[in-house]
Amino acid sequence: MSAPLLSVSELTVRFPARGGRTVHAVESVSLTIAQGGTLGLVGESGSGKSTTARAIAGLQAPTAGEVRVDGEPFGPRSAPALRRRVQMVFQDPYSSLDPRRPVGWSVEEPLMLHGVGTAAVRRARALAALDACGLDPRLSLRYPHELSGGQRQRVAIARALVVEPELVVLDEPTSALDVSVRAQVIELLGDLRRRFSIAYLFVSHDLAVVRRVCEQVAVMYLGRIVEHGPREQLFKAPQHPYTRALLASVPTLGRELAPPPLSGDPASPLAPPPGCAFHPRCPHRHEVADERCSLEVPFLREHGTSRVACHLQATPLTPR
Amino acid sequence: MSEPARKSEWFGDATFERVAAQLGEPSQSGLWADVRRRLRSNAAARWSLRWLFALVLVSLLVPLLPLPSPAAMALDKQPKPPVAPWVEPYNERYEPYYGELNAVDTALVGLRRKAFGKKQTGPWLGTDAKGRDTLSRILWGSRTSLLVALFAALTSLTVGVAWGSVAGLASARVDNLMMRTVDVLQSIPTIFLVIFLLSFLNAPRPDGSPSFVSRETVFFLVIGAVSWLSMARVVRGQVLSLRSAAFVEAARSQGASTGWIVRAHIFPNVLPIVLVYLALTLPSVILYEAFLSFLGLGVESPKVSWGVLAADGAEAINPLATFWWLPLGPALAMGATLLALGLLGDALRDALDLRRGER
Repeated sequence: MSAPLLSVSELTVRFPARGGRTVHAVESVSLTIAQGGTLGLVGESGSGKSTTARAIAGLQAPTAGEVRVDGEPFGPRSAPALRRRVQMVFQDPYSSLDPRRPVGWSVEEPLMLHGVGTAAVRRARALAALDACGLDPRLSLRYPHELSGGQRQRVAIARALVVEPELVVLDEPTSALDVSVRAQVIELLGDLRRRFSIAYLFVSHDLAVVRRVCEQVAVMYLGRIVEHGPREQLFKAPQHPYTRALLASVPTLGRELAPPPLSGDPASPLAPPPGCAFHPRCPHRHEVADERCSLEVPFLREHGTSRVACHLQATPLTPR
Repeated sequence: MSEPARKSEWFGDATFERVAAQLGEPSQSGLWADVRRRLRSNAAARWSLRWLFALVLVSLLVPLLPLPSPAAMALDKQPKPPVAPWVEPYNERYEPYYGELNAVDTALVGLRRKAFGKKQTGPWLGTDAKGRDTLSRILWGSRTSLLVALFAALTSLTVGVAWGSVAGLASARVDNLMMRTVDVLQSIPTIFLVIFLLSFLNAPRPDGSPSFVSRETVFFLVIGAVSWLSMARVVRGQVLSLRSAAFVEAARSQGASTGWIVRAHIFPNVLPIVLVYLALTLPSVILYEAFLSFLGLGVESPKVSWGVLAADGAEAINPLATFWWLPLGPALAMGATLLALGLLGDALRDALDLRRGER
């Protein structure tokens, strides 16, 4: 295995909020993605997964910690040549394309900004990228409002791919799409990855999609990664109580709807609880001695092929 | 994993150069052709544009028309009612009396005298208490209204748009400072400001020289000072929301400069809103001019404006006789113009709204 394409260490992002308070969006997140690897980042709304994605794509300067691409420090101020290697696909295909530009222009724009080739070469490449994303080149003359949501998302993917990146950060790329279109886009992403050996960081709250696309999965809760491991391990034998609750909350056809495994809402990132951020909702916190969960922040520890951040790990959970 | 196909070009397929050549340039004009088509299919917009175009044309060429001069008086006891054009199509009593005219207008009046001699139209819309022809005064008065509208449009487009864009793009601190300035300017009671400026600037000088600032200059200064404020607000709001739009962020992540962002993304997206807003602001400026002139704070005799005509009509109100023709003409002309601008603004908004396009 070669050196990781992306390595994130102790990434922390905080935003100032009203009244001198601070939003703890991302806290000490570390992860790596190998060349051509796929990592899924899951968690509920407000867990900091989108902020993590933005920081990795260089759209958000970290408060602390660092992002390295191929060993080089990476951020909003990096040279365009380096930034070219990491591209982002946004959640909402309505707002990610300029409504007053033909979509072909939008795909061409990154090439213009990077000063690639002549106008004719750029246009041909933009058309080829659209074609690779399953769009008729004739659609390049259309405006975003003339395309469907799925077509727009394909355009957004083409725009990310046209500069030949090594890592594509996908921030909930399918959550704004219909279910049938979603499947097509997921399939397209798989095809493109096989064809061009791109690495994906796939942010989603849709566990089924993540299971289909990603080899590695990281679960975030209130700005921290609570569990990180290979797909099979994480879905078959989840270790962290939150991961288990998250998986149990997915409704399945033909099975009676289980009562929601968790009660209450996640704590506010404005005032994360002391100790383990999950402890106020954790059904197992009384199984750990000395109130450790409310006092001490658990760190990610190796557990089989995964890493888990839970004090309970010393006494492994028995599968129910 | 084997070395990927990365170093080779992913999208270097030459067939697409042919396809690109076949498809032709993606053009911005396509979008505007669409807007024009939608505007044309709107009857209200068509008639509004025709009215405004005719008004502009007539007000530019009014010295050429065989009208009585707007300031030529006849000693009458009271206003004379309209005489139908077929009863008195014209008479030969033309007296050139215009007050001060600029060189172009003087030339136009000269042409008119060569072409029509002493002939002038009859009192088709009646005359006022000083025997001045109402039709002629309405048409000459339209010049003031249109000039004010043009001036306000130019200030809005230059100062307003520039101020708003800079505030929207600048840091929060500069933005705050600029927008508070707008707030302060907007909270100035302009009526008092006009009165203050007029009494201050028109005060007799110790050496007895005439005051050098005319009422009109003051008037335009004040219109200029206030007319761009709301435009600055609108543009700033739009720029702020565009600045954080995902497509701008995407461009920025490719190393786009602020200049590029403004040229390629912000300008084309702000322009439609500016146009719509302009069409909707002009009526209020025209009304404001009429209001100030009505109060006697606007243009000075012998110049004439629609507000002056309204004031004349108000002066003629008495319990013994009605002079309905004095307010009717200016009211209709002004009403039609305001309505045309309002309808045009509405139609523009619909035509520029891309999502409503497919109907």
